[in-house]
Amino acid sequence: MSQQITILDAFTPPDGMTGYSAALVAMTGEEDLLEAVVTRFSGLAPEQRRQYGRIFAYLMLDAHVTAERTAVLRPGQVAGLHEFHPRPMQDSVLLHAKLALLGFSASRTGPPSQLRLVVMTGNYTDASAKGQLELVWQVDLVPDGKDLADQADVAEAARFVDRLLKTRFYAGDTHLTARLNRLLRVATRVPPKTPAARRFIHSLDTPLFEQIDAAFKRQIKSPRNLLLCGSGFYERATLKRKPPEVLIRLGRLGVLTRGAKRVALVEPAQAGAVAAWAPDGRPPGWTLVTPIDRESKLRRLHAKFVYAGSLGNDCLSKGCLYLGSGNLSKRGLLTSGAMNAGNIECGVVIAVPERLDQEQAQRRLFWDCTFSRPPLELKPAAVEDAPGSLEVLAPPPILSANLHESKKGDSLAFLWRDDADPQAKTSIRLPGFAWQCLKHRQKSVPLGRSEPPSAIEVRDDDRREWTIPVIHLTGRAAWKPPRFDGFEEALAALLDFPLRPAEDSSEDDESADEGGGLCASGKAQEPQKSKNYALHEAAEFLECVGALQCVLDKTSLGDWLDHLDRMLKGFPKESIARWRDHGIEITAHLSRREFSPPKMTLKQRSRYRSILAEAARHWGQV
Amino acid sequence: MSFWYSPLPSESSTTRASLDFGLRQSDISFRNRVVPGLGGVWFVRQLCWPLAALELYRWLQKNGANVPRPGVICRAMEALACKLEYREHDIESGRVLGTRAFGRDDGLHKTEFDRLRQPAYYVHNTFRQMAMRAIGPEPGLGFVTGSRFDGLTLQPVGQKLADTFLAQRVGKGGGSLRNWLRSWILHGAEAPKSHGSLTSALSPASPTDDERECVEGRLLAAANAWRDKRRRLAAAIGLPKQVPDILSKIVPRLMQTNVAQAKELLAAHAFGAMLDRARDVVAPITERLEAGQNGESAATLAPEFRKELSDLRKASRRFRSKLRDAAIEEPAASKFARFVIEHEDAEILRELAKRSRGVLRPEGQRIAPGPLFRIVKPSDEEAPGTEDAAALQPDRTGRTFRVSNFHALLLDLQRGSRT
Repeated sequence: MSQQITILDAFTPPDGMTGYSAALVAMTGEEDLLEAVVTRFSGLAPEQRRQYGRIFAYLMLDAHVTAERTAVLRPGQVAGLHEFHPRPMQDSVLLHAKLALLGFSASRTGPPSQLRLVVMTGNYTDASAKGQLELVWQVDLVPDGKDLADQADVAEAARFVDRLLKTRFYAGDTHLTARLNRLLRVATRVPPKTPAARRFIHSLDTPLFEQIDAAFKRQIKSPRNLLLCGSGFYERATLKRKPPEVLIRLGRLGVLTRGAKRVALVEPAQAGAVAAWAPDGRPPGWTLVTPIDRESKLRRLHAKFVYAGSLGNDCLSKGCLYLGSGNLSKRGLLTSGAMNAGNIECGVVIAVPERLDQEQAQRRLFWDCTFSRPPLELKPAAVEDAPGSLEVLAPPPILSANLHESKKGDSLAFLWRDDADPQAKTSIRLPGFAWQCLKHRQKSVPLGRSEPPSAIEVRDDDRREWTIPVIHLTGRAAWKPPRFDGFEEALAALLDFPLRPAEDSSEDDESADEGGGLCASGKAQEPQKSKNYALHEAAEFLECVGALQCVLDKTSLGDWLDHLDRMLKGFPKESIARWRDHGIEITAHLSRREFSPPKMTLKQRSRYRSILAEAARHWGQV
Repeated sequence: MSFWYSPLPSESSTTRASLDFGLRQSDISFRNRVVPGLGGVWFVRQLCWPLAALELYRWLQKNGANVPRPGVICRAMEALACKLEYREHDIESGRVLGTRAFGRDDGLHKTEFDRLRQPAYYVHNTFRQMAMRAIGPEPGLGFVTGSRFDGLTLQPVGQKLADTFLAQRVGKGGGSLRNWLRSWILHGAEAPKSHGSLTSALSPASPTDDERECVEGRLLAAANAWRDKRRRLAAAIGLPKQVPDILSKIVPRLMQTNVAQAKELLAAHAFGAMLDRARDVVAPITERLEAGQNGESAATLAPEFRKELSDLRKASRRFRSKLRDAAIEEPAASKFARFVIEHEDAEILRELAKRSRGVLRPEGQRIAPGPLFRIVKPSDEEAPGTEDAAALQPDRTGRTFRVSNFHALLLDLQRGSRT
């Protein structure tokens, strides 16, 4: 199983489970790949997620401005994903770590009952997913299960994410981050272990190299005759003809035999300092090799790894492996986030006891141990693992707006940045309205009769503009409530539970068939049989919803209440008006015992009542 | 449980695949004008599988079984059909999806329903998704009514095609495909390792004559505007092995039967040519720029790409002229063409950058790499490379406005053909 999968498969929920919440950390990410990741993780197509309104994935990327990244993703740009605004720091630390911490649950409303940690060498980009040779380490576990080593790694990774969030990002509104906080709480339940017991390492405090060195010495009891290294970047090129410092240190790892073979996989076009050190590709003490791609010859090496093991009979064995985000460069392995110009990296050091035959070595470590083709024409190349410039993304003065609904009218309450400039002028714009200037730290604005927006625009003194999410107290962010053309459509959507997976939703029909799927459907073309009779509609509604609620099992009740809440808010005004005109209080009927779900806990019963009360208020029945 | 691996190249198809300069709706509109109601269908079994899934669902549910939704049944049945075809005939039919997934875990002989219903063991973008328009009401073939696949209702013609497909005899005992699929779905039956009749009954490449007749009746026979239009196009295409050239063969033949239809096809062709020339301008610029660069001044780039810009201007003029001839309203495409005709080269470059969906971006007077920068291939090399249904269709570049798909379907309708 472990060999024939793509990076997207790492985000697929285990059988019978669904994605609950994910923390995604990387240096950079692209909309398309993130879209695919969230679709795979949530099992929902973009429009389904937009209508669902919950955040499935929380994204933390490096703060520096690059040509490809000039702003954080807008709310809803990738539905179901929220990108945190990085804090502008005084240092030039680069967030280069790449990992995903995933929580899965039997229901969409949680709690997470299974966790997965994915440590990667690639970013959330198309290039990493398709065009580069990468490595991944993945662990799946049930919290509080038996495997304490796995739990310690997941807990350490969760603490790492938590520290990143608290120190380098604006964490924002607690309603927005509720699912992430829940994931981190579950994942950090295990008390910290001594570093010796952990495989997951990071460089928030200590450079990776020290940790790799210690872990290798701990795990390798007798010297090995092979050191195999790979990296997408080896150090900025210099004029000096000497090996990159990291290679010098790796060559001196105290776990190798005297005549051990030292092999470095080098992309000829991106050799960095190796190009100056060994322009002919044959440096003393090392063998330079062009990486092998068994799948497609077009991919270039981006994976960063160090393997120490035994080479014999064309097989590798008794190995110990570091893989992670840190390149074999000074910034990658010899600096930390505590330094002024360091990198924040992460990775794992694992035992690889299995024998890797020739094919396995090619496939998993990109090296043919029987034939080494030295790279030709080494070039220093333009890749770097340092910030391209010191300019960082500017955060908005207001991070989000909370929607407060009340009988007097809805309003938006602002969450100001804790370090926002007290003198700066800030304006906001609601969709369809003009800019309006806010007083400093103005708490809220009334919405009047206008429809609650899913996001609003914010502008500062320098006319820099941002889009920030509107968050409902239920935790829905950048949410677009469903809209239905008529009673039948609304009822069908309400009864369409549980949410169908993306591959079975009709949305993908449209994306796959550029002709637009079934837009010329029978439903659209046939004259609608309008049910004008309020009583008939109400009876059908109660009968169908009551029947569905009666058969719901306990595990699906949480999801159902969430679904009911969303759908009732989108019910067509015409039906509601007809019921109101005839004095039919649908929500009062639904709260009666014979129509309510029978197996609710006290908490769920209270939530059910509040949903009905909220719907009644929304519908103007009270 | 922990493990490490080197991931395979991802199959995800992305919105970056197409560079349509904001004219996607016009593109779709022209496709539907040229071959009405066919969507992405190009072989008969693409229609049979979804209809059979709807019928199986109804039948099994009526008999009290706890049945997966029609969409799930269809996915699994399609996956089984492709897997059996792949096992026996490899990919010679050109209609086999999922080969990468089939190769995983020595899973080529694993054919359980519960496995094949999962996208991980087949593909994410299936043939069924491309057949939705065609099975729907006019201008589709009218096999079903409804909106979402799981809620579709079979019409009598759809019921007939589903019954015909499911009535095929499979296995030594000569039981029906319907019964075999029933035990496959409900009782975990697996396909035998060698089972020619089952492979043939499901195969994407071997529809029965009765199925062909059913589809042909809806596609070409009887009289209404859509079928007349398809019939005239079918006559103009004929049945050669290769799709005839649109300008030199199909248009002149259509001119003899229906001038308006021929002019529509000419306008569509001119629209496609305009899009191609626009891509030909952007492609070398992406070659020239590098990700992370500040870009170059549009005024500097314009003289370098004078020939490509001149070709684009000519194609735009031709498109406007053909659009007028055909008396078609396509405001967005027309506006784009007018902009190209009326503006200076540097202005056109900035407009193309603006419409390049993030590949390029105009920054003042400069053209810079955009947030989704990539090297764009020229029009004659552009083709999707992912393993999904859209990538297999004959009209995968969209440049024949589905004439190639229609031609493939006409060939598949020929008795005794295994195309």
